Amino acid sequence: MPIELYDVSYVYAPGTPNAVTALNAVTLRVDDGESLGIIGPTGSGKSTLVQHLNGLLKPARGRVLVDGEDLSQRATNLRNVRRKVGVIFQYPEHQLFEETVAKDIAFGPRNLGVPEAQLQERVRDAMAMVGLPEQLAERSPFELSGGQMRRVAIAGVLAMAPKVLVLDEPTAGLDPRGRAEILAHIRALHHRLGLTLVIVSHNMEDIARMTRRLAVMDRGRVVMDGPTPAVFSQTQRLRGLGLGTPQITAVMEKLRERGLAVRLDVLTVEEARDEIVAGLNRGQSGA
Amino acid sequence: MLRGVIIGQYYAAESPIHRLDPRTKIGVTFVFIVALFVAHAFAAFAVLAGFGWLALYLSRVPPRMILRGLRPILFILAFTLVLHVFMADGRTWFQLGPFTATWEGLHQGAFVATRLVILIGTTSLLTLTTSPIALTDGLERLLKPLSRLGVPAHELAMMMTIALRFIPTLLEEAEKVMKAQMARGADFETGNMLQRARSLVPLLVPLFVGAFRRADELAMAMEARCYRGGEHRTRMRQLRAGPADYVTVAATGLVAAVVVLMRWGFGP
Ligand SMILES: Nc1ncnc2c1ncn2[C@@H]1O[C@H](COP(=O)(O)OP(=O)(O)O)[C@@H](O)[C@H]1O
Ligand SMILES: [Mg+2]
Repeated sequence: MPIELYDVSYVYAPGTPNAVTALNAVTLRVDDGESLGIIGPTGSGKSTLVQHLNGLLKPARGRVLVDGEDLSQRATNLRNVRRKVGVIFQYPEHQLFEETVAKDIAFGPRNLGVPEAQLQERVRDAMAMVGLPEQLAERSPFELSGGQMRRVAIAGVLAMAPKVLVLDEPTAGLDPRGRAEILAHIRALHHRLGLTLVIVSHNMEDIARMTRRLAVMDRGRVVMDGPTPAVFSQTQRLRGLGLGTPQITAVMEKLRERGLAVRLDVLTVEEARDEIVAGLNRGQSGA
Repeated sequence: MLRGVIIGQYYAAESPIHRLDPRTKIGVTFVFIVALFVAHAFAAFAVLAGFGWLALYLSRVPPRMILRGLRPILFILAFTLVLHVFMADGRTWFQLGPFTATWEGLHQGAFVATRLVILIGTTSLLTLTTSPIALTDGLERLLKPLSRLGVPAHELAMMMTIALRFIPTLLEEAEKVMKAQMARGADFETGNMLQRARSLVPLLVPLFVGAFRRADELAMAMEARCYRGGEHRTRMRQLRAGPADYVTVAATGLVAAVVVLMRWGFGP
């Protein structure tokens, strides 16, 4: 179920002095089972892009196709699209409203017309997917910790059984433990259930760990798009945009500056170790 | 979608009207409104409208901004007019089923509608040319004599300032929550009244929770900076009345006097 954006532009407050072109001729394709990361400076249009993936915003120009259906077309059932493409906004815990965790998680599937009999199962599954203990089901979501609240919010989208999961800065404002837990659950969903992932993040380590493909946005355009290691290895260009690289990449770059011939497109410590050893061997055999 | 509704009122520009002391503008507007209700002939309205038009011209606010302010009351205007035309007694103008339209009714309706248009027009000129902060500053100063009587002038002004400051934030937040719930299949647009009212719960609860959270944070931040009430506070921007303010007050006084004379001064 691919999502395709063709030449998509979007303008906030068009025709006023405050008009902002948030997306400028973006063409992007997300295929089944992919894990796509999106990075870019603040205000580059990442959140705007994300809202096009399930029809919350309609492009001013260009087309968005989900499963071949044009989202701007009247005939398209947007609710159906939103069932397939689950979008989790920044600070999703701010959308919680029900008396109990279970009721809040059931809100989405109920809106989609899932029969009452199945709701409980949906809720239980969704809670398990994000590692929320079952005892919490009858608690008020407002009594939980920040990390737990965020997981409730994510479960609320997972309970709709989406095929694509889009997360806008899912770990912003969490402590390292909460961040690691949430990411581990999301990764498991991707690997075990084959969910397509689209993750917006400012954390390069998270992107390196979670995604295989990476798109870089700047001022409303997609300026780089490719395999995550390849994009990260273009350190100069990223830095020019005010973006960082994962620490491993930075280490490899430093080694290279000191004269050790190593590749930059490595993301894990293990890969880096192998590459450094290989580089040292190459150096010796060359000498 | 919600941004820029109503509150984008203030029209920033460099003009003699913008530069007036907010106290002057509030006071003058008040006098003007009183005069508007004293006036009981179209001729008096013409004087007042002419005065308002001069102020509008001097303020460099495009007249369409005033028209935009009038749009929300169009319905009320039409309603007032129709009600008067059909309810008043007098010479028959035309007949519509069981209802009789009268010339007197038309006159009365037009009169009330004109008064309403001038009222809204001039009061929006006040908010269009005075930033919310200046407006509350001015109000606070004008209310200050009442604090002897126990009116918490400073606190009232502070509350207004904070409320004004957070309206755009709240609208932004409402839009965000709305989108988040729509992503979960919520529907705010269809259904009967009851269904629609119910569909607002997922929007309103997070909004209230957010507003309380923000109020808490703000209170904490204010306390951290040792904020405490109005006693002995000095201001960064002092309000000072200048020659332009005296001229404005005098001109308004003159216009008000003319309107009063038109009503009671001539004739037997
Ligand atoms: N609701 C809105 N109204 C007006 N402008 C907006 C709105 N949301 C975002 N923008 C503007 O659009 C641009 C892109 O914003 P956004 O998509 O939020 O970027 P990012 O998520 O990459 O930080 C920014 O310049 C931002 O100020
Ligand atoms: Mg964003």
